Amino acid sequence: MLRAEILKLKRSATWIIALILPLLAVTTGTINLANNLDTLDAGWASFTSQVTLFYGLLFFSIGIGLIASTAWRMEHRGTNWNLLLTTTRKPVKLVIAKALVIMIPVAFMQLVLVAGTLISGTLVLGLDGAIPWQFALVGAISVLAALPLIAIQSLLSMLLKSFAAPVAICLLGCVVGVATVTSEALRPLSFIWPQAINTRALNLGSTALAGSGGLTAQDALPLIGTALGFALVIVVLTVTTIRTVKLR
Amino acid sequence: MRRAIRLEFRKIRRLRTFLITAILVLAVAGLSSFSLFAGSTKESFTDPDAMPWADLMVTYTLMAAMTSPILAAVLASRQTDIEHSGTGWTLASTAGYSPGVLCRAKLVALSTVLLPAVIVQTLLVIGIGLFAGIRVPLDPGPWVLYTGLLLLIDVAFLALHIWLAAVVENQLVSVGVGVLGAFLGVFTLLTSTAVARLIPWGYYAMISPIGQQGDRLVYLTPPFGWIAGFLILVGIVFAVATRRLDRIER
Repeated sequence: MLRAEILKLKRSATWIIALILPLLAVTTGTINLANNLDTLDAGWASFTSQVTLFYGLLFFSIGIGLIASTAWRMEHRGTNWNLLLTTTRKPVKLVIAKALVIMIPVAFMQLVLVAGTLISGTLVLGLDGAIPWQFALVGAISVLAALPLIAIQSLLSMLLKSFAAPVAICLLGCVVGVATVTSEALRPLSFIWPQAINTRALNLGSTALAGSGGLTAQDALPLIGTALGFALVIVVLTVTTIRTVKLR
Repeated sequence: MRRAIRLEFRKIRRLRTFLITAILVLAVAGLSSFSLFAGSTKESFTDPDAMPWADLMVTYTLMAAMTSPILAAVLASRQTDIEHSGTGWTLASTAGYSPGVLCRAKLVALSTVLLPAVIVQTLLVIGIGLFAGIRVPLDPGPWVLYTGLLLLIDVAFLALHIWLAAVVENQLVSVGVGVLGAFLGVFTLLTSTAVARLIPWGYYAMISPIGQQGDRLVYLTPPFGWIAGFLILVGIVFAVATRRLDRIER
């Protein structure tokens, strides 16, 4: 099942999004820093914070929504859905294969982001100080933290035939996420809201967002823990949905 | 044409476009006024020199630049994607509505949905501002101007996305371009207008009637010439492109 999914992934256009989105984040971050060198003078810390600010608030999550929609799109074409339902494989295999196949471009996206940031920081901006290798860790953590959103978007893209509808729901989720991250009253919610988990993960150790937490095991582990647990719950929910709800 | 538009409204109803638009309008309004409820901004509400309305306008333009391109892409893509999945192009052609007519009807119908949406959005932002306790008198001029221009730019992007969604069957392209555009929209708000002029989504920043001079916020006149030029250009491109759609064999 996974092999078939990877085959579909290979030929799909998700890679373009997974490449351009983080590159844009790096480019805008670079230009923004170069223009405001007097206010953003903390070197690497300022630069990584600038790169991840809008990317973490909105565009990383929307990117996941787009990739998930693309991953499910072909199943809604022609008679593919009937074909899927009549395979002898277990639904759970399909659900996990889809999640993995969404996760691969997401991981690639983060790889581009981290590599792009480190390259741009050293070669374009010529920032002083050691290359912050911990930023690579932020990238890795954010892939794990993205799992609940990947699972939810996968579920939504499975249920909704339209390509754009899950993306719109994801955008709405981002709006709620921004509210939970920026407001003090709602902050506890930001540990369980999928889009907010993404924002928190990407802003670990950031200087641009208040109360974002440091890149320490104490701050990162609960985040990863909730993410994994939450993702598991949604995978189970998706399997139940396939079993019980008659789609189409 | 009028009949084609009426048909599009039927599709709009079934596609729950009203619901999506309403939810996103509420969301944008909520996001824009969120900073009002932070404790530190409360002191500026009665001080005319602190310009609380201008502050609110800055967050509003930022949130609008960030979400409007995605909203336009989503609405256009949903409205156009159904023609691909249900061979609607062929069906409509046999009924006398060529793909070009269909696209133009879609633009008119979606624009009519967007018109009240953008107005309500601005009114909500102002309303929440009043509710939060801003007591400085409001100068309605920049708000009316911004709302009108925002609507026009939104319509321009609806046109571009309808065309994209009609030409490229893979909706990843249309929606993806919208997402990348949102990114550029936010980015151009932070850089100089010289860059914003050259990027289509930069016009979300160009229409902002507010700018920064040193440490102070000042109201400015948006560059109407550039904005009008952009709108006319999009209009011509859309007219030519939809005419060409009629001659493509599917």
